[in-house]
Amino acid sequence: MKCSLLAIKARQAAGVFIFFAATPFSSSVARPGAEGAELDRARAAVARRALSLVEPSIVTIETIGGTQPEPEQQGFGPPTTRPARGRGGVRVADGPTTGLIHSPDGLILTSSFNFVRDPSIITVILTDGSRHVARLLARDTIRRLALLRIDATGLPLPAWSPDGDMAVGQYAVACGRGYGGPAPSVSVGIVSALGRRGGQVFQTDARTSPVNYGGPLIDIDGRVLGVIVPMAGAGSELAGVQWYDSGIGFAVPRETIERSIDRLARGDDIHPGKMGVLLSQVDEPRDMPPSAEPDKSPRVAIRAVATPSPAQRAGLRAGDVIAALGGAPIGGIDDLQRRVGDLEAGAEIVLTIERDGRPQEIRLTLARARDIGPSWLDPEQESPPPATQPADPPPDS
Amino acid sequence: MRRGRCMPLLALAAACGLMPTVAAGAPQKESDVLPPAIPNVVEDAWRAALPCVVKLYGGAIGSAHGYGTGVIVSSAGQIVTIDSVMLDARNLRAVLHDGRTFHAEVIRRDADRELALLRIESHDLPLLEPETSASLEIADGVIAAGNCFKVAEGEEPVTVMYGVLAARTALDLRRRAQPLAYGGEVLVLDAITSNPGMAGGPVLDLTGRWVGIVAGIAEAESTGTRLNYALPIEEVRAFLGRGGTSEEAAARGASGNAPAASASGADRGPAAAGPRGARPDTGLRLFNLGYRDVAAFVDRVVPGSPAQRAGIRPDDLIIAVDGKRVATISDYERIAADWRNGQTVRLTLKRGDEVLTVEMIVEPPR
Amino acid sequence: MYASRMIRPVWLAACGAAWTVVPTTAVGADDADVAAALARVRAVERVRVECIQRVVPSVVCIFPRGSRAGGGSGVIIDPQGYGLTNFHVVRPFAGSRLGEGGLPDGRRYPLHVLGLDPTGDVAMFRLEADQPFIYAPLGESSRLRVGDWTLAMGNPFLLAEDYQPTVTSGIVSGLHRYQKGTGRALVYTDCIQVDTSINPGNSGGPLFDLRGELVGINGRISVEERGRVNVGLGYAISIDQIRRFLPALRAGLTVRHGTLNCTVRERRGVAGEVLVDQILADGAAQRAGLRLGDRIVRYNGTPILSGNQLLNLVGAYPGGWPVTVVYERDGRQTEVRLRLDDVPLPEQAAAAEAAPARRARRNPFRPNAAANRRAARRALERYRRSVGRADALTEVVAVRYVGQRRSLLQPDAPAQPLDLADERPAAETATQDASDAAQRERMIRWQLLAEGGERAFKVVGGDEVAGRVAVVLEDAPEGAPACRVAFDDAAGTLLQLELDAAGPGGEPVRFEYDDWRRAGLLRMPYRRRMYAGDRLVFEDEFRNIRPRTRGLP
Repeated sequence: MKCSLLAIKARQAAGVFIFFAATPFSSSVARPGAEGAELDRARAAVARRALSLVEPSIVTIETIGGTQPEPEQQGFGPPTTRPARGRGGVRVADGPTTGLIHSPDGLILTSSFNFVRDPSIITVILTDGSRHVARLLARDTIRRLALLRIDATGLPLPAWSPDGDMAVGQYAVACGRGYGGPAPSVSVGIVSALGRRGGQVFQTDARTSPVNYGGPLIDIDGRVLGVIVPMAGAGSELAGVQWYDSGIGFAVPRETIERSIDRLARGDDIHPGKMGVLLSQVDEPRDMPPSAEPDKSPRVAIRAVATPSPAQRAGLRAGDVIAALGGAPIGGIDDLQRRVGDLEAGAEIVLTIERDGRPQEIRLTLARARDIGPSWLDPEQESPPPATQPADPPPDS
Repeated sequence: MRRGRCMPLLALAAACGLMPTVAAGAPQKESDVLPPAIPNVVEDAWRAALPCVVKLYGGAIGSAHGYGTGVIVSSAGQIVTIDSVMLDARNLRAVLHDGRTFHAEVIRRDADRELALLRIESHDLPLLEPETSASLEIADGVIAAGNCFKVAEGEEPVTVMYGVLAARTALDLRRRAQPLAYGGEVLVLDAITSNPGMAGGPVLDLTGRWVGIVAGIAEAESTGTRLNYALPIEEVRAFLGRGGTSEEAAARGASGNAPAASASGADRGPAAAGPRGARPDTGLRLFNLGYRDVAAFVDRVVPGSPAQRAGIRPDDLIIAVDGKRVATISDYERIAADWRNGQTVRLTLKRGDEVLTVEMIVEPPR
Repeated sequence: MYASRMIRPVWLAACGAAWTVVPTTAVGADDADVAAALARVRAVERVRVECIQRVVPSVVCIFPRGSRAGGGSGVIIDPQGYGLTNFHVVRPFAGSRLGEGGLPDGRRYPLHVLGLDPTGDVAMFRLEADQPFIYAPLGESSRLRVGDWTLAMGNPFLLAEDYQPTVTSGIVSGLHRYQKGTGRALVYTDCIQVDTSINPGNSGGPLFDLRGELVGINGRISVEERGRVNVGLGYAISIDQIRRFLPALRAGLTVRHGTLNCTVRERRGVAGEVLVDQILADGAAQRAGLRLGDRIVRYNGTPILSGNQLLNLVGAYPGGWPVTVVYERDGRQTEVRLRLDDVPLPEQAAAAEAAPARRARRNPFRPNAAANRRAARRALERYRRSVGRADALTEVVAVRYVGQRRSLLQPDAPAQPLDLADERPAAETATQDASDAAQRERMIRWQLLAEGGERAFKVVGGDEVAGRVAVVLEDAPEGAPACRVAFDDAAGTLLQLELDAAGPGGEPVRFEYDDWRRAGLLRMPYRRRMYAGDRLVFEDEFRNIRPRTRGLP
């Protein structure tokens, strides 16, 4: 019994246009399309005006020197750089990047993505064409922000949208200088969601990519909604770059930037906090299909504890199952890494673990990766974890 | 839905000339006559162009996709598309919007622009006139049409995407680590046109004016990411022999030998430079241990040379020439290779913490 | 909330940094044109923002029970919590029929898996709560045009930590698209193509038009070398297709799609002619009279130009659905009405469905009695509500019908006047005792108005009656002929009542009801037709219908 219909190349002398037959126009009604083109013209004019209002504050950043970053930081200790392909198949290019003027006397906000190559020389080009040497003051690797300082006065500041004014569905225009050229590039989308990643960033479906990381996402009045950053996944500063063009983009709003700007201006880097454990997940998930996971919630267990480390100081042991963080249940290794990765070194957390079948609460204070390890407590673990990992993010370190 | 919430916007929308919008929540069964709440901006342009868009099928070689899109430019059956290995196939076919299929032949190709002109045996075909992209501005809405992923077959309409013009600039492009020859301006699109099968499709403004042709899949050097872009329609006109209408171009093309591929609009090849061998020496000596990809630091300046007269000093770092970034010695040398005597160039230098610009007149050494 | 509050510019000094925060109105418009353009764009923006606010509460983040990982998205379409998603989203936990749904109110609700459509990749679920849910109204995907704006909502990449869905905006890129499945599963026929950004995790979530009506369920994307992320092509199952399956899915049934059971080819050298190429003996096409070489001219009114197009259209219908086909043979066109045959389920589902009863507990393809009972109760409650308020229904003791009857047995005779008094039967009277079809019809209609009718009736699926999608309930007592009633799935009204073996030759007798209008405290059908088999026997048209309540004359 066959049910397939064969499609063979057709030769048609004269077609009946189904589309036209199904949608006749009434001559007495204004053609919807003409009105549409006119409306879009209005939108384009508004977008251009908005861009022109913020453009004087959008700077171009050029860098010289530096190397391709390592795929993923493994283990602990100081980060190493060696020539290698960037994560997720995106080769980190060395073209111009984007920044946003933050103070009249030369603070420039941008994304830490733009400095993953650790360039030796950074220059900032203002819209008047003048070039300035810039110093990288500090990086906030959690929010993927960076702060530069140039020597200038009277720089034009952008207008920011007031806190709490953002609504899902409003226009959001991403502006960037990554193609070079006199004018910024634009991508028009909407605000897709508020309060992502522990409430630190919001989401847009405007196309965000290296061309506009560090640049402003603006509203139709030309006010800045946030600074565009790659913000997916967990761990590396490159995580999320492979989502460029996907319609999943992120920006850091003013409220979040406020929390770290003073420290960055003082030159203090902000680092994600780590516990100092290697994790494993029972019911290993396959990589993210639109359908899903098995019928049980994946259990995240500690495979090894580093020493010295917050985990060691708190008494965590290999075999402990991490059930919840801050009271909220864990949904797998990715979920735990993302939530811990959004917290700073020095933050105190409460874990709910299961040991020998019984639940316990453990408190610990997160530390920087470089202050953890390099040894491991678990006697089974003779050597540090293997240097190469599958494409999924490595266990939380 | 919570029924009965009224929309205070109605009056405002009406005042702004928009068609009245529907009140929240309640499904209106008479919505047969109600227009959409936000007007469709794409339909007019798409309808006008659809009959002129053809689906192309050729040879899939290696990782190259064996299908694409083209635009009819003459009623006698000439089709413009993007040049690719697909066109080398013996059984190259074009399927019209109504499903009729024709064997297609390549008449002419332009390697630099990556454009190709095909011909099918037909007449009285609807054609698209290549107009101008001059009035297209950043943030203007455009549509791109093409047979992405060969979703459409036979008489099924090709895919339409909507986006804005993101940027308009010349960019260094590459495909699988090979730089592309085309060095002219491109229309960077805010729609994801960089997909298999889309190349060759038309980009139209919302009045239906043909303003560009979707290019093949490529990456931008400056960002390391795929670029969604189109060649400006001016390149298509130049390829077709412009001046007259495409009909005349078609007549010229059909009448005999194919003209040689024309040079690209914005030349940046060595042909623009002066005669070879007479390369001017400006007296600049860069600190060079034999590696081409280190930063362009000045080692010394020959006394009495143009470089010295311009005020360049040892330990200066050259970071741009005429506004174009110089990251390495080879960047500098590539730019300097085009210099001709008498030319004035502006060098941007980093000296300590300062950035300054000097002008240097390129002259033969005295 | 979207609001342009008037606030003073806020200046914050921190290490020389100054934030310039300005309200909307401070950025004034320079001239009239700009002001007008800004006003129009703001108006569009407000429409979109408010549309999203209205419908977002109906968007579900679907998870396996007790988990924060995996799953996909869904949308609630009914205040009782019924919702739609993809089959492939619920499949991992379909065995237990239990998952969880997170709503933007921040809470997680138990999610019961109901009917499954493995061929078309749709599933229905029900969220459980003690209050009504905010739900999305269904739109009509047939009215969509290329270029129409759409909004997709869901949980791509599990970004919705607090169950606030991701909202993306784009246009309809193509209609009536076909996306191949895996074998006989997950085939998308007649689907909507959009450039609205859809990513892994969006599956099962809603596609809305800008009126806030549900027009599709997102389920697939085209992907290639850039990995499994959106590259501008997403596909949604159309709501018009899903609508036909709703009655069966709600009742927890596993549904099948329809087929003509013939293959077609396109005539060489001639434009747009689709011919029957092979025809299955005793299949739907053959039973309807089609033969090899016949040209299929129209399917349900749509002119057929290609084999692909026909495949697309037929695939969007359930097995058993009534359709009309116009075919041409020897220059003559004939219109036939036929019921589609079933497409067999994909292998896995078919095997599961056929599994022995003792393994029924964890078999989602076996009938779900609880879901069926609930769906039957719902259909009957909606019917009763469509007739009148609960107190009115209990008070009514008789209905008087005044009108005329045209008997088709004597087509030339004039219509006979009618004056019927229909007394409500005593509760004990069994319907089977009724002597003829007309009496039985009377009894059953009174029975349907009383509470508890669902004890006898089971939902057997959906159907199309008088152009409406209907939910069909059946009372099939042992040893007695069955009775089926069909209610309008959207409006609730009674469309049809069918009695098996009640005709003179043992054929089924069918009553059709039309022109439902106010009749005192009730709403009643002012037109009624009776068929024996396919033959119209009589047609009643009522001028006046008067219900009589207790205590009143």
